[in-house]
Amino acid sequence: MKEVWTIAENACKNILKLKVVYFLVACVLILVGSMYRYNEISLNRHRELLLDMSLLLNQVAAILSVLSLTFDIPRELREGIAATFLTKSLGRMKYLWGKVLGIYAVACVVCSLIAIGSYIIYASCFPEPIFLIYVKIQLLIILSAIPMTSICTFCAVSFPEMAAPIIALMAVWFSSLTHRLKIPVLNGGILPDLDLFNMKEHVIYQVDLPWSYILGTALYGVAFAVFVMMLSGIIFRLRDIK
Amino acid sequence: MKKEIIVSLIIMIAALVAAAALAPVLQAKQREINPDKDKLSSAPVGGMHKVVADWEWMGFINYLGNLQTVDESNVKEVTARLERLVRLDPKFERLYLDGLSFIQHADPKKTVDMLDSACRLDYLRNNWKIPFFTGFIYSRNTYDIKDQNGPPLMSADHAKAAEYFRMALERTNGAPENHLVSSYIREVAKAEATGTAPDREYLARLQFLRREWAQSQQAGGMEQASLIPDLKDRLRTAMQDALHPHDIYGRDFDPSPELRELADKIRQEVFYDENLCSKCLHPAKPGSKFCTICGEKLNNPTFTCPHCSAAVEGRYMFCPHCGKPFADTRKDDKAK
Repeated sequence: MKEVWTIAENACKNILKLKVVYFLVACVLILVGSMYRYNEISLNRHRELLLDMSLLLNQVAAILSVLSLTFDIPRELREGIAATFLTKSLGRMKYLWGKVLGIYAVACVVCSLIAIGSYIIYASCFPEPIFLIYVKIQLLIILSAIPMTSICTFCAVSFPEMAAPIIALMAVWFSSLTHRLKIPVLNGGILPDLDLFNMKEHVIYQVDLPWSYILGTALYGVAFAVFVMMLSGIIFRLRDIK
Repeated sequence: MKKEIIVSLIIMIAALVAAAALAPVLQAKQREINPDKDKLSSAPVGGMHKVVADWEWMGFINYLGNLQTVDESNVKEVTARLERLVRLDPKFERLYLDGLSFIQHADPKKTVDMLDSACRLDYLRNNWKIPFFTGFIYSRNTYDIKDQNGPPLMSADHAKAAEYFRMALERTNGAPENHLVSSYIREVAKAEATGTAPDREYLARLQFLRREWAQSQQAGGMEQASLIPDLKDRLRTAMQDALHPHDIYGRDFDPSPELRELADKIRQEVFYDENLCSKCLHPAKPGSKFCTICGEKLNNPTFTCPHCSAAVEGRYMFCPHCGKPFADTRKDDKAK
């Protein structure tokens, strides 16, 4: 377990020490704040616009954070860093879990920064209170990173370095549409259902979301992530690493 | 190695079963929390319907800004944009109230269709403005802007209008705005008016309000039993209007005997304990001998307290001047 935490910590630190991450977070917050000026062009729909934009950009930040896995794992394999790890007592499965936990931690930090910043911007612009439902929806976005991280891991170990990020991005996009396939086991089982994490309109329309639903989606995310991680682990074990 | 793979396979299958079992439960729960979710567009926008709707809305406003008017040359494009917006964000109230107002003259049928769908949305089930707008469109003939003298694009349907106004009233939690109540009463009267007599709408209005009054009396005399607030005041106003009717050009005409008879019946049934002027139906103050509005002599100006001889309104149980009960005296009075 200690090795897993060490790898997770390294993966997390490697990304969080990059200044560009914070620069991008600042850019996102400036973009969110600029929506306040859209009152005329949107016929006073700037409040909705600001909230929608903050939720959208947070979702994009979560996707980009987890997508870094599809660059990180192939890079370490190519540069032989992973081979150094894997020749030691460290198992391949532990390596993958470490990476996943590290990148998920990155997604949590980045999404939390954007969520807190966006809320401060919103609260300084509009009097309508949205705190609790806003927190719940942002939590769902952070939870959606669990299955997305596992999808990216699967793509990173299964496809060539050049194709993995593109395939992972397409898989994440496709996962938000699978709820339209009304096929049991396939829908939500083998094919992930990221639409379960998409309740963003509840912030605008002030419709409450029960905690039981959030807990359910967290459990679903973990169950699906375990399924994909085990599959990725099997593929990774069978792979020849030089 | 083999053992590890077998263990991984077992965990993988267990996780798959757990995910496959959880997903339908959560999907059902999601539909329960948000029943309108299925009405969303199937456009592959990755669940970003709301943001896309915001952008579409801004594009729509920008597009409208370039138009002089919405007519048959561009109504299809405007309608298509509105329909796209509805599919992206069906809960967007202003889309129905502001957006659809742009096409209500050019395509009233499409407008009421879209408004009707909005009325049935779960999220907007407490919104009274949308059914009111729908009823408003149904309440009048809609003509082509370029050909006001031609046949109407959509003829008034007073029964439908009354139905939507009633829906709006039911959504106001007992505190409707006055124009909504007036519109409802007017449209019911227009829908129920029969024959060709010029005072048929006055008659239908009185009949409807009398029916509402009777229903509220059956419910224990509670005015809340009716959707119409201040029913008694509205009945008096309707009677005042009915006894001094005028046509659509504002010309006065005499009320028919049937209308007079009905007004008289209502006066006896509803206002039996009130001292109304027989000519203008204005309530007289206790002690008045002549109406302060029309100068008509009042037949039964007041009820006189048998104990102190003060003039009081008959609806009291006790004399406001001496405090003695006169319930028995009223019974005697009625018997006489």
